[in-house]
Amino acid sequence: MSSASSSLANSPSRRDFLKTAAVGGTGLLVAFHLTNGVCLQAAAAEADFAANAFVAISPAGEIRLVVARSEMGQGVRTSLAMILAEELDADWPTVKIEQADCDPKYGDMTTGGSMSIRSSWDPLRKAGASARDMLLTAAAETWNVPKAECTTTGTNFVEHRKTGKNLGYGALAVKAGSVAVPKDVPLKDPKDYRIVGTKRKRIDGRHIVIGEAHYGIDTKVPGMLIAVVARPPVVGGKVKHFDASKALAIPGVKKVFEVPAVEMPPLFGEERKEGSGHQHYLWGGVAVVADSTWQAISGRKALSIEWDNGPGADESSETQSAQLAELLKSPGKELKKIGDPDSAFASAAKKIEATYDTPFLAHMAMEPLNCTASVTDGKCEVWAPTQNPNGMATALASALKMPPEALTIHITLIGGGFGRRLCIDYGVEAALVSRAAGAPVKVIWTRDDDIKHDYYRPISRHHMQAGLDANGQVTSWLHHIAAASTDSTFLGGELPDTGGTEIAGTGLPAGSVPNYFLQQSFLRTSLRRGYWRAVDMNWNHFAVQSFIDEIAAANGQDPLELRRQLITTKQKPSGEGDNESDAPVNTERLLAVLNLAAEKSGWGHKLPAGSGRGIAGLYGFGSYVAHVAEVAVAKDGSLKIDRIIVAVDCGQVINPDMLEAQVQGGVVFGLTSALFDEITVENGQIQQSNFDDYPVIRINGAPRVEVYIIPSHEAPGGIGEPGVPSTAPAVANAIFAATGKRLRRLPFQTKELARS
Amino acid sequence: MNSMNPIPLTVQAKPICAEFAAFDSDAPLLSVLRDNLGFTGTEFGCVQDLCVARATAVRSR
Repeated sequence: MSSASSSLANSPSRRDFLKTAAVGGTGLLVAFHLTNGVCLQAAAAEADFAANAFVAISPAGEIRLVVARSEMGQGVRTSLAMILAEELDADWPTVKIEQADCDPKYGDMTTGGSMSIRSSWDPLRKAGASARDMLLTAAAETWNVPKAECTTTGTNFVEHRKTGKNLGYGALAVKAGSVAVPKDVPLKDPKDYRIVGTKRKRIDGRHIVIGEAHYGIDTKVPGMLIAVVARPPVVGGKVKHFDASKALAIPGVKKVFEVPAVEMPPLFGEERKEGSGHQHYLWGGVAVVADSTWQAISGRKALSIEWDNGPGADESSETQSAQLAELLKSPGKELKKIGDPDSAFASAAKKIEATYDTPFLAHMAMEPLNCTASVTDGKCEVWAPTQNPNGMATALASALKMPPEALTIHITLIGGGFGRRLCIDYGVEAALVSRAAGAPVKVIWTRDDDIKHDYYRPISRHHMQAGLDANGQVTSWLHHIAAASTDSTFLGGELPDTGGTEIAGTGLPAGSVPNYFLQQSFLRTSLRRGYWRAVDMNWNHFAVQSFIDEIAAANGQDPLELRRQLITTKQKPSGEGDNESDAPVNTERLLAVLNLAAEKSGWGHKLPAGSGRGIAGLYGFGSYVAHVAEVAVAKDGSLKIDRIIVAVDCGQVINPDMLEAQVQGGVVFGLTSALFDEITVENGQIQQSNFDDYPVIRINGAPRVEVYIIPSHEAPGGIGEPGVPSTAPAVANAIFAATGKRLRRLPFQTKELARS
Repeated sequence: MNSMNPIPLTVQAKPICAEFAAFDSDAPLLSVLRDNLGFTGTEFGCVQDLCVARATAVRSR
C-alpha cells in the first residue's frame, strides 16, 4: 500500500471518473473517485481504472455505498448516503453503508481537515445521478418507450409516466449494469432537493444508543488476548531493566515483554530528510498480555521497571514558559510582511501591545486509544479505529518490514477522533505486541495512558502590537508567534517556509492594514505535538480575536464595528484559505455571519451589570462561522456562560441536524479547553491523568448553544472543526465586556476576575 | 481469590451462567461484562467513576 500523495501522471484519466460493471449478476455497480488527482495503484485486472468508492444496486434492490471515510461521531456515513440518495432519487433511508477496508484503490482515505463532505460532494452527486440515468435507460429499453417518458419515483422505482408501469431499481439493476456510463448527466436543481438539506436521523443512531455499535475497542477475534503497555513516563525514555516475575504470577497474565521504540514514517506520505531531528518514534515500553483487560492492568501494576528517562526529564512547564519568553525577545522567522511595520508602529499616535498564552492540550476522545492486531505467518491484520488508514499502512509496513500486500486494515467505528487518531502509533504498537505474543492481541490504553502519551496541541505565546493613527485607524499590526510546531514532530527540522500547520487564523488584518508583520519562533520541546480539532486556527485565532477587541477598547469603539472596518475587500484569507485548494475569503459572507450572530444575540442591547457579550468570527475549512458569547461574572470571580450564539454559512448544508450537533460539539470542545484544561509537565512527566484533573464540560455545565444557519447553495464547506476556534476568544471578549478585565491566557484564570 | 462457583446472572434479559474460573474476584464489573461476557455496550472510559461511561444498572435478588 502506498501513500496517497503521488503525481497526477499515473492517474486514471478524468474521463474515467465513473465506471460501471455488471459482475456475475451482482447488478449495477458504479465506481467513482471521491477525490481527483490522487494516484491510484490499479490492480492488473482493473488496470484502466481504480475507483475509491462504489455504489452498488443488487438485483434484490439493495443499494449499497462503500465509503472510504471514518465515522467518528460526525455523522459522515449518514450525510454521504444522503448525497447519494438525493441524486439517485432513492428512498430514504434504504441506502446501506459499507465501511471500506484500507486499500490503495480508494486513494487518500484520511478523515480530517473537515474534508469528507467537501471532497465527496461532487463525485457522490455525479455517481448518484449517473446510476439513476442508467436505471432510466434500462427501463426505457425494457418497455421500449422513449427514455424521456420515464422518471424515478423517489421510492426506488422507475415509472413510465404515460402508462403508470413501473419497475424497481433491483429489477433493473442487471440491465442497468450493461448500459454505457452516461457523460455529463445533469444534477438536480437544489430547489428540488428532498433529502439534502433536511433533518435526518443518523443511520447508525439506534445501534449507538442501545450499545450495539461496534467500536474499535469492542473488537473480538478468535484467540484474542488483551494487552496493556507500560510506556516511559518521560518522552524519549527507555526501559533500562524490568522484572516481570510478580506480573507473571497473576492468573491470566500470559506474557510480558519489551516493546521496541521503533522509528515511524511521516503521517501523510511526506518526504523527510535524513537527520531531520523529528520525534516520531513509538513510545516503546513493556507489554503485559493477558486473557482480560483487568488481568493485564493488574499485571502492569505488578511490574517493576527501571527507566532511563533521558534528556526529556529536564523539561518542565516552567522551562517551557521561560523559553517562550526568551524567543519573543529576538526576531522570529519572517512569514509575512507588508509595508514597513516596524517604523509604522514606532511612529504611531497610539500603541497597543498584549501577550497571549495557550497551553498544551490533550484530545481525550471518549473511546480510549486501542487497536487489535493479528500478526502471524508474515501477514498482518488489524482492526483499527483510525482517521488515517494510509498512514497506518505505511507505518505498519515499515515497522513489520512487510510488503504492503501482507497488510489488511479494517477501519472500525470510532468513539471520537479530534485528530488524535491521525497518528498511528497505537496501531504499530498493537502489531508489534501481537507479533511478539504470537497471538491476536487487542492493546487497550487506559485513560491515564491516553492522556500521558498524547500528541498534544502545541503550547503558544503571542506578542501582538498595533499602531493607530490620530483618528484611531489601525496602521500597523505585528504578530509574533512563539509556539511548538505540530508538523516538526513528524517531519523534523525548522518550520517550512509557509508556516506549515501553524499560522491559520493569523490573516484577518493582513490586507486591510497598510503595515503588517507575521513572524514565528520555534519552541523546542520533548513533548510530541499533534493535530487537535481545528489545529493552529485555535491558538492564533484566540490571540487575534482578543487583540481586535483590545484595539476597539482603546479606541472606545464597538468591537463588531471595528471588525466591520477591518474586514474589507482587500482581506486576505484568515484560515485555510491560505491553502491554495481553498477558495479565497468572501468578505461579505464573513460579515454576514458576524452580523447574524450579533443580531440573534441582541448585540447592542444592554445586559445587567456583571454580564457581557463578546464576538469572534472566522473563515476556515471552507466555512464562515461567528460566535457571540454571553457571560455573567459574579463578585467572587466565578464565571457563568449563559449562552453561545453561533451563525454558520457553510454553503449547502447536507443534514442540518448533524450540522447543529457538530457546531454544539465544537463549542463544548472549545469551551472545555478555555475553561479548564492544560497539560503541564514536571521533570519531563505529564501531570494530568484522568477526567478529574483534565475535566470536560458535563451536560449540567454546558451552556445553551443556539445555531443559526444561513441558507446557501454554494459548495459545502467543512463543519467538523470551524465551530471550535471562536469559542475561547468570544468568551474572553465577553468577560472583558462584563468586567473590564482582559484574560489573555487559556485556560481562563477566573480568580483574577474577583471584585472586592 | 478465585471463585469457581457459577454465578447465575441475567444481563440484558439474557440468562447467563458465568463461571469465573481463574478470575480475579477484584475484577471490576466492566471487565467481566466486556471481556468475559461480551457485553460491549458498557463502555471503557476512565475506569475511575469519573465519566460514568461504564454505568450499569444492577438488581440483585
